Amino acid sequence: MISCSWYPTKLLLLNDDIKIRVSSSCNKYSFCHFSKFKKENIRPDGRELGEFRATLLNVGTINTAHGSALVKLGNTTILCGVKGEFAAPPVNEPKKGYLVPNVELPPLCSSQFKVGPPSEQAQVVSQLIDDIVRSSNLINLESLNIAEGVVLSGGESVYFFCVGTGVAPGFACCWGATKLPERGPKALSKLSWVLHCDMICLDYDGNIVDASLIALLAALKNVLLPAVRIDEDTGRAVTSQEGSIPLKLSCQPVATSFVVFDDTILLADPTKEEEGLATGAVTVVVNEEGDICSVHKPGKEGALYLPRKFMTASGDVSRDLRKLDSWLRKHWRVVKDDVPTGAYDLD
Amino acid sequence: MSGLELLSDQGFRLDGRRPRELRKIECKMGVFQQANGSAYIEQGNTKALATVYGPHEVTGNRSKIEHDKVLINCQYSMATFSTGERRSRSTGDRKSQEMQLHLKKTFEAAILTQLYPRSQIDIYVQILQADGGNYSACVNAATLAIIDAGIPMKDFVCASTAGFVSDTPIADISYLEESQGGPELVVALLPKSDQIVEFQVNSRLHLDNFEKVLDMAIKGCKDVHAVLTRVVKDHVGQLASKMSKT
Repeated sequence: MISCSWYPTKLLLLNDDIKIRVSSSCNKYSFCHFSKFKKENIRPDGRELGEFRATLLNVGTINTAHGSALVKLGNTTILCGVKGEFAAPPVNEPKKGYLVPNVELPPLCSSQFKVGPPSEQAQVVSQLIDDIVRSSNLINLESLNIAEGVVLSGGESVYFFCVGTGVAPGFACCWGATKLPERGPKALSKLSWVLHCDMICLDYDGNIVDASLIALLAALKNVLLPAVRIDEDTGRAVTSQEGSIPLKLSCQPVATSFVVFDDTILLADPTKEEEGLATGAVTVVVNEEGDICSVHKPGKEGALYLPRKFMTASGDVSRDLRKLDSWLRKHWRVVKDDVPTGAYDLD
Repeated sequence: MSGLELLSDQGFRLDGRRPRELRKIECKMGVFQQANGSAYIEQGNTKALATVYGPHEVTGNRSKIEHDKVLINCQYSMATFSTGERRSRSTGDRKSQEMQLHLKKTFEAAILTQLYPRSQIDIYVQILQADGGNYSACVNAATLAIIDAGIPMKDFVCASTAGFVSDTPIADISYLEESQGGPELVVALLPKSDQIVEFQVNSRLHLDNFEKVLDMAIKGCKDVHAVLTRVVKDHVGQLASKMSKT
């Protein structure tokens, strides 16, 4: 039992054996409030320090998207929708397509976000997800190529250009091709998929990186791209629902975020309040082979201490790693197998 | 007009509904933790989400403060993946701005605005999947969210649409029926007092037929009201049983 002052106090019952007395002069979001829980190695919502919140996953919720998934990590809710569009491949890499992740933090999800252009945090998270996708080789971008170096009959130079955007499922004919002035008998036509992965935060209660990455992975697993054929006579790209193909992912990176409290204590899967009080944060991304794909640790807090904590496996540290491991296993189970449409409880 | 037959000889619509039948409505209140009030609604394939924050202090431009009533701030956004073709931006385009204004006017008419002078209420609506009747889905979701937030209103606001195909008024039209170029009526109603708070007609409709179509839209609103009332009662019942347990 802990009591910090003579002020009127209220008793927080966490489970059968732990009771924490919190002075009502302590603000719920204050350091003082939090310190009391810290001593008991428990958090205000009843979790242990390394415990993650219950996770729910719902795959294929949005019919208008090519792939979609909704993730609930405690109260944090992220909806990811993937939409494919045609685009000309990058000039220096004509065999590749694009994957464009974008995280939105609209004012709808929390009162701390304002109406207007994307906030700094939204841009940082988007960039972080993009870096993770790149560094983990999540998807072979060459598999997003549709037509590269197709020599069209008749020796005409035909070049695809994108007028309309996107592919309405089930509709053939997306755009026309123009005939450029004769540039030689054999010109190459180039066409690739660009996958726009929009992750919208619907309820913000901390740790959006982990939630966004699960949502992204599950949505990509759910993607069915229509088959594309290039009509040799007209030079048009024709899509059809028959023969649509699921996307192949080369690995399953899962992110795990911790915040550093008091420079010594690590809290896994932080809530919004914990993120606000913490002195530092770290996100580690590991794939199913156990390779670290990315480590993100802004700020100087615990700079020396943290890497060791993750890289070695002794004493206290191994406990953290085990926690990490069970968390990853749980999430990999879902993202690893082919996830059919439906709702899942990951616990 | 395309060759699609919107109403078959047997009197069925493309999705198998009768002319006066609404699409299936599924809704849930109190879906999110951060917001003061929230609700999710599915009307057929149209899926919308509404969250309400407030009443709170006026944020941002202080010149917007109203001294005798609450300031209502609406934001309407459509997810980029909500439509058949990807939208390049989810909010801030002209269509969204127009929708925002309509929603603001609708709820100014229904919320007891004089109770919270110099304050602000934020209503955020998000379309997750669009299949016609976006405005009505938003209004219905926002009504539930406002009730969830405990903000007093004169009455529920229920919205529905109606169209007119081969001399027959049809209720709650879908995207396919909307896009065929026929007339579309959008009505938001305070069902208890039969007051219309928002009314809009797109395309031409002969005056002789007007009454029939309007009646159909109003009937749609009343049907929606019956569903929403049931949902609110269920929700409150669940809350009450939870409270009595603790």
